[in-house]
Amino acid sequence: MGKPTDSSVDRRGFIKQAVTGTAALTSMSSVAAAQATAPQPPASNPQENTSRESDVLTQGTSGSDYMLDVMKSLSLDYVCLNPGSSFRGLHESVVNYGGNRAPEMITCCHEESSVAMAHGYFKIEGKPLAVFAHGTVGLQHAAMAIYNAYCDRVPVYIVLGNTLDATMRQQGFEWMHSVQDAAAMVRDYVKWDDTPASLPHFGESAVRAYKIAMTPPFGPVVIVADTELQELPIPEHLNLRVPKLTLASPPQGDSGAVAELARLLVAATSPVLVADKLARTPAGMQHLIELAELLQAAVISQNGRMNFPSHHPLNQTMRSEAVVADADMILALEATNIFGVVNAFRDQLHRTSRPLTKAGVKLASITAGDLYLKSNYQDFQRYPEVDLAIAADAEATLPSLIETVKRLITDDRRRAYQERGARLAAASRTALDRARADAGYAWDSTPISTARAAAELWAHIRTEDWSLVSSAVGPSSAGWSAWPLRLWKFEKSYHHIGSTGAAGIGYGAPATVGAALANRKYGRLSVSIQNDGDLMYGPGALWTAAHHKIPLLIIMNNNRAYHEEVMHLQRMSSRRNRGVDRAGVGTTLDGPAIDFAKLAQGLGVDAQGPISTPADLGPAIKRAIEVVKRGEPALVDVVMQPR
Amino acid sequence: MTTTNATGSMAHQQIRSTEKPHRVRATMLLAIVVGALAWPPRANPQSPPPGNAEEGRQLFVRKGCYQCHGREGQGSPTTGPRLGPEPLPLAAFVRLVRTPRAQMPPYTEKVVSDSELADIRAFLETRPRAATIDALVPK
Repeated sequence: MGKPTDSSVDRRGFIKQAVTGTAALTSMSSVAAAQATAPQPPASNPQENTSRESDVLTQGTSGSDYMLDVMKSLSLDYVCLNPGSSFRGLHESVVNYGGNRAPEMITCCHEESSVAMAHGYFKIEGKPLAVFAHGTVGLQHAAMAIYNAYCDRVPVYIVLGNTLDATMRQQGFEWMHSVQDAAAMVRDYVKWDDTPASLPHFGESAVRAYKIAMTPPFGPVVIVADTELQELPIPEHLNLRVPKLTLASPPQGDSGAVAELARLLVAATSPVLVADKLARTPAGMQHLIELAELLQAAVISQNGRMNFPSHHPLNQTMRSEAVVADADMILALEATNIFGVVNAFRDQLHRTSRPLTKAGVKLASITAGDLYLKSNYQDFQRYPEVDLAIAADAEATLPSLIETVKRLITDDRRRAYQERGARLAAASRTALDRARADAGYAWDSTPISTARAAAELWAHIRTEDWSLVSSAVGPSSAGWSAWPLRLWKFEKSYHHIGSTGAAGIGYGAPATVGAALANRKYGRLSVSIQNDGDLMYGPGALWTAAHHKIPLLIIMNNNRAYHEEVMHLQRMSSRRNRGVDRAGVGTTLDGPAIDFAKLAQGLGVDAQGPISTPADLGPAIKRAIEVVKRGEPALVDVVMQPR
Repeated sequence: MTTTNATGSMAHQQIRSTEKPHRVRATMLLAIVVGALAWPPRANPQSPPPGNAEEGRQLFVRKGCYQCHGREGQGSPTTGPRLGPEPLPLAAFVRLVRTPRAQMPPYTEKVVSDSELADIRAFLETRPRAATIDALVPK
């Protein structure tokens, strides 16, 4: 029999184990000794309120009443929420202490809907809404919508419930619904956050958050409302007051840089003004019209906002490549993607780009984006190689630029401008006429063409005070391949609400409901072109519209697919020589086809469809508008061509 | 009718070859007669390029052309230009599909054959002209 090996320990190992073991025993003994000599706590933690005095079961004041007082001072019209126990104190304060007015509660079926509703509301009203959510699961639901708002530079005022003191958490789910640093998860894409430790701290941070959110560039903010602060009475020693809010005036461009920019614009032969998220108020569009008409310059709107009338003779958006190619001076106004303006990108096996501009073109930018940038999420696009960069809010800077331009224009330049303007107007008329002619193709086709649908809808809304509350632009099918921008006359600041921000799907339905909520008090006819895939992310937004009687005409763009992805699959399959017949696998919403009319009806919304014959569309829209004019949402499910 | 798989054009030919023998013979006879009548070939610029429009209609969907250009080839301002009812000459049409200049994915012979492209072009040529939209969209 040989020596045992498995359990044997060599000398060195034995000594090491012995030493380690002794040390551990010594350590445990010392801890035990220290514990034994430490002052012993009473049988229960005094904070856990087991004494007779703490059997007081009602209260005269509540921390959340003060929190609401602060929020009321910020003129928040509504608070969107999906109810949650971590903000039950605040919830009760809004309902009873605040009388459910300013803010009034809007019941949402998902936190993503809550934030997207606030996003859409701001795009019409120019004011943020509040959102209440759990600091954990609620915020996790809300995250994508917050990112959309962040990329779109839209303020959303988010209040999160959380129980920081672990000894105050009820066993079970309250632990899963509590977090050490609630805002950490979204800190990369909110403008500011704080976790106040007292009610006075809450007051200051809540007002500060609003100020930060509403200073260009706008952005979402987060305040954590601790449950103990919400629910306990206000300590008697506190002399609480609501801090004064003074909004910061938006940053304007340096006067020297503005003068240099004016000189470049006045001297240019073919200046082009490119606007994306420029018009943050109705004044933005008026300023751009004034500058464009003063210079008789071409305007391209990237439609992040309603920047410029679609049928203005200087609007050259439909022929943007042509005017960029001809330009000797380009001014980008709150345009993130300047590289994309002056370059064409080709998505083939080897991705390439080529300049669209001629040699010697001067590029300038005015954007508050230069004042605020984060690293992780890459929404800032390619580095813009401009000749003059003005780090300022473009809308706030335009008045001084206009005045400087006026002073520099000579009579000779003015005559040249008139000739330039006439040429641009003629080109614009030609482009619009061509668009009208193109819209007539596939007129009687089934499924219905995007152009026919746009024309049918326009015929019914053009005499109304209408507002397109869905995205009118972008690479996706939102906005029916941009036909509305070609056929409809967009003239007023609320005629469309711009882009989604990050193109995160699920924005569409709740954002349109939020924008329609803002339009309601003005009596406008809110119109939404609703993508089918988007609606399936959060159909509960329809219920919210029905429940709160938000008038909204919803025309389904039902192409029964995530069609952008169909095209991506097609591109990959073609590139790899494998045929395109399976591009529908994993990308289509068919088999069974979704009956959106039944879905909407089940959620309390008047609905018709599916409609796939062009002749049936007009009468259905007419009937739906009658319902909307009674103050309710109505949906028409239209089976559409993909593009 | 044909169904496609990853090698769409091959499947197309295979299924054609499963036609009943007497139908194949009749088709061949017809082709010979038509060919004889047409001989010698004339260089008539007015004569339509070869292609079966009905086949083309189905290929236009099956090969995914409609995804960017619409069911009638009417085009979309955001994804692809109008293709009919005056399509490019066949040679240029084939060249563009094989080696697109801009964003269009390339379609090789393996994915869509020349004869299928001729069918597709024939379909595009038969598309109706534009309706006037003035009644719905006044200027």
